[in-house]
Amino acid sequence: MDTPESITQLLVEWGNGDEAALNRLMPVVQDELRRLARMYLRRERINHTLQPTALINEAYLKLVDQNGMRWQNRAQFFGISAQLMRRILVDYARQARADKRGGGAIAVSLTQANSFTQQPEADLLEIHEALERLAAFDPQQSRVVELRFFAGLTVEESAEVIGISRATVAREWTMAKAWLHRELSLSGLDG
Amino acid sequence: MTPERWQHIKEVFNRALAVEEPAARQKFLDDECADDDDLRREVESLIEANQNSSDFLNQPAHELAAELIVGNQSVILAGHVIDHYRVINLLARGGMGEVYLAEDMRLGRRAVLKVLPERFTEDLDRVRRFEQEARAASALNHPNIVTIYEIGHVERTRYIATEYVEGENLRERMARGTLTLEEILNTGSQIAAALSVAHDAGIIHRDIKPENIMLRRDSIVKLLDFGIAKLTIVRPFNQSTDPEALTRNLMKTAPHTVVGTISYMSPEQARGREVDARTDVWSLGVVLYEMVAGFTPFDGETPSDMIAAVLERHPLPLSSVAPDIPLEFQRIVKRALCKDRDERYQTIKDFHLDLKGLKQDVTLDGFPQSGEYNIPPTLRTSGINKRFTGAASAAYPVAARPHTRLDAFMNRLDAARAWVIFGLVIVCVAAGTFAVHRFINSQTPTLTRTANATLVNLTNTGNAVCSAISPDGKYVAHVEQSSIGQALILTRTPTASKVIVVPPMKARYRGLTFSPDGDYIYFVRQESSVSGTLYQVAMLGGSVTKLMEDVDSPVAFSPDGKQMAFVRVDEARGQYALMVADNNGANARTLNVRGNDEEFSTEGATWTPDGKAVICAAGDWAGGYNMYLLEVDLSGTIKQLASKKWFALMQVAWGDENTLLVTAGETATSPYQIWSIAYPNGAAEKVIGDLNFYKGVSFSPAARTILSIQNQRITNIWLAPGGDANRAKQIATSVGLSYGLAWKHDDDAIAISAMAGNNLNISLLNDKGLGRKQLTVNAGDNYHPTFTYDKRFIVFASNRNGGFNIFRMNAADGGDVRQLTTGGSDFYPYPSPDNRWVVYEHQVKGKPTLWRIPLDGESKSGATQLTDKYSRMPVVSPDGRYIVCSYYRDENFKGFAIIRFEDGEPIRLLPIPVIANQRVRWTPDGNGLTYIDVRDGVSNIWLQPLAGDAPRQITDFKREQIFSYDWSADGKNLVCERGAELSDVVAIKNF
Repeated sequence: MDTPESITQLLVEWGNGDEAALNRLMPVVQDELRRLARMYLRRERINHTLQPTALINEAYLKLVDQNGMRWQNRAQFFGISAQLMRRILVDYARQARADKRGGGAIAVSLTQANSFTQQPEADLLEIHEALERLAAFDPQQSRVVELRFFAGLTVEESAEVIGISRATVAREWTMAKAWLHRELSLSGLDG
Repeated sequence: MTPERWQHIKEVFNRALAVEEPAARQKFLDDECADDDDLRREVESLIEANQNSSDFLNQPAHELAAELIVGNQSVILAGHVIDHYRVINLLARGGMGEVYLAEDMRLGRRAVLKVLPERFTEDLDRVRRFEQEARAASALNHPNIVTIYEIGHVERTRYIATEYVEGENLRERMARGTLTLEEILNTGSQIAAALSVAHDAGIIHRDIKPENIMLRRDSIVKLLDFGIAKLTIVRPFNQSTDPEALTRNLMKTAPHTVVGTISYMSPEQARGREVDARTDVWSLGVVLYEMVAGFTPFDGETPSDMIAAVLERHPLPLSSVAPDIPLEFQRIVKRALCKDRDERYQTIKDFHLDLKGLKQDVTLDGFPQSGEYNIPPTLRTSGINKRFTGAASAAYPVAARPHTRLDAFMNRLDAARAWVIFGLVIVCVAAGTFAVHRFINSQTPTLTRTANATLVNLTNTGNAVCSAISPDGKYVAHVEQSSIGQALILTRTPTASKVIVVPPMKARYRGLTFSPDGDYIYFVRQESSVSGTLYQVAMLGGSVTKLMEDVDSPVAFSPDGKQMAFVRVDEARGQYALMVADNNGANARTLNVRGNDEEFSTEGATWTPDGKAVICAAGDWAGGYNMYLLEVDLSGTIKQLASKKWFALMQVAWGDENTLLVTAGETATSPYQIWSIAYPNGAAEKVIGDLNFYKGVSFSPAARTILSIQNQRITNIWLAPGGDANRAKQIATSVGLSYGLAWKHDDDAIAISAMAGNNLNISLLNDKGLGRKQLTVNAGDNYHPTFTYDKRFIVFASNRNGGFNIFRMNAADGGDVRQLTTGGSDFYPYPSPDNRWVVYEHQVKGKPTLWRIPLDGESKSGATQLTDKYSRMPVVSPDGRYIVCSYYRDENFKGFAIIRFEDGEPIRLLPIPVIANQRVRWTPDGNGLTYIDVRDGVSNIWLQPLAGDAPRQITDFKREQIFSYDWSADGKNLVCERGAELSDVVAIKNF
């Protein structure tokens, strides 16, 4: 449907604040996401240890390679794609939760797998919602989680996108995880 | 929260984290938050959360959601309900969508649920055509066709529910190893039978391939996925003959399914022409070819190469890859693979008839071909005409309708004996017929060759328990383990026809013996009690007569058949009696008793040819464990036969002339193999020189054939996060023996004892299976490694200085080795959490008890005895207060016990199953124990909470056994050594 040119155009437009462009972009990124998720599952199945290759990096390389696109600003592409990915993933999470067949949620373990106790878990959607609360008083920290968790970027890539030092990204990531963990554990108790 | 306040918290939090030392951090917080309690609470709770969140969010969101994203539709996870089906787990995912194992909640049965991807269901016309065909297929009622229960949909989710077939598909079977001609013909003709019913009903399968052929353990073959191919394989639009163009079309129309299927496509299918029943003839021909050759006849690097091969190339003649394959088979396959469908078998029925005919020829070869059925005397005089117990053999599945001459004969017997015939029905499909037939005729069999001897597999299920050959060599009896228990099966060797003599039951067979006249099989079976019971059964089945209780070895008949020798064990007193009785169980008397540090082997004895003495393996603990052969005459006088020293001597049988045949291991780690020992000078020679284990030995002088059970063990090291079988990854492979593995506390190092060179050595590897580092070299065999809690040492058992003693070495490099004990038979060391003690098992005269010794190796205080009851394999609790060990209190309790570390006092008995060489593990919190349990041949780890709840299964492995395992210190990860042990009956000739 979309030619490479139009994808580029749409990304730039949406980057400039055009929400309508986003709706036309979604299916494209969604296809890409599906391809990468499939790749991930395939690797999982054949017992390959997955290298921490950033999802968007692959998307970027693919677009550059296949469509001969030249991105003036790699960081900009990463940033925009990360937001898109988050939206799509949140949509999936909503769909899973709303699923009438019950129990649907994209579970995020709060502790590492421990076979002896019941697993405290959060939903991907809960992380998204908590992240929105965090953004209200610390947008940068929230952004780091978006890049690291929702877009799968490395510390280095995240630093490049936001334009801060790696050490800062690492510190923000540590604290954001602690805050989110506390936030979600507490909400688990309430619920 | 204001941004300013948050920034302040952030700053204090970051600086506090930088201070690692706890007291200093407290001080820092005291100073920093002197007048702000809120700030302090906030920072402290974040620090605490930080400690718990090291693993949190370490997997990117798209991986967590990957299944959902790829599934392209709603989530279907375990426990979800689709219509009236509850999903149990995902079985497979492919172009056809996902396949789940599910429970039909309405009917309470298991079912396979195939959920079609939406991309197939968007085209309503196609869906309708598919449903029409699937409905037609669901009307097919045939034992070789997987029953379609229903075709349904919930909203946009369309699914097909079918019968659940337990077993493996043909692809998996082929990956395990070569199939015998028998298996091939059996599989081929069952598929042909299924297709012929379908074709009669006007249904073409269109997608015959190994993945769609399920093999059950009982040799029943089931064909899957009727009609579904219509949905996925789409006709290309043009009628080109150019492979490139055809490929493009195929890939475009059915990108997800086409690649795996091209190899099996008929030329007309690949060309996109309308297909008829003859396309299934072709595809079955391809499958038959592949079963023999191990590869498909039309193959290529790329899809277009494959299509070109299908259209244009002739396959490699089967004779060039499998010279043994009968000409008739090659002719049949060639005819099925005619590119012009008018030259193929025109109906699957003709194909089927040819396969069936060949199968009968192969099965009947060696049988008299003339009119009157020349049944051997043993068959006529056996128990067929005696009364029947009516024991249900129906539970044991029946493979096919009888159509051999033996069946015809059996059918003449009156109807009251129907159950015998049930057993005999297995006759025609016996696996291995081909091999046996070739073997008996001394032609070139499909077999393993060793130096001189030739070896032929008589079974291929991997589930043989024990076996014996009749003196005339015409019959082989063996016990087969199945999920419903152990069954005694008799095979007539020239034809490999099989009879179930005793239907499967929950019991353990300890040994089989033919009576010298060949009329009866004597078997020792362990039912509810520890000791065995001796029974007698007529060779072809009939009533089972109980002869004696307390028989703990197979019996051995005197040359005249009037007396039998066996071993009786008195567990309580630790005594082994070699006994003789009349062949009906009367007049049992003891020839010799060994006790304390001396024992007789319970694997089976033999008689000298003059009938004056019994030869039995025996062992003692004088100077480490050694075994030898004793000749005991009928007055009880003992004479030790000259022979080399053995670590293990199991069964002994008289060979011919002046040789004895034994199953024996030279050292603690050498596999038990078959040796011949000259009588009386003791010169020993290996009969078979491979690396497998052999269990049991019997000999037929007439056929000059040794019968034994060959045991192969292939294991891999797996890492399972959270013990989750679905996420388990294979990280390393281990070949041969291995004795325990251990996970270093809070680290990624795993220590494993496995064969390296000719010995068991301890190596380290990381949790990726990499960085393997051997810690012990040229130092005997080294067993049961465990890390001390301070991570400095590995404690282990070793026989490097003669006898088995406990040692410790540096965990990092294996240096600074110190011998901690000198008991000579010390095993299974386990350190205490305070790093002061090592608890271990010390055997005195064959009785194990628990002891402890200081870890430092320097303390003056020596070993302290903890228990006086039979106790083994101690593991200390995380708090150091208790020890769990295998514990044998008395006749009434044999399991595991928790004892106090201080004084060895048992405080709790646990009904945990005792599995050889398996230590129980404490959970890190000390609130439970994990152990291995084997159900239906599959090992899983179970948790026994100490709070008294019922045990629950933790891992969910669907196959293989676990030989050893350990948890990481936090209990989050499981490392285990898993694999399969395959035991099959083998016949050895020309030795």
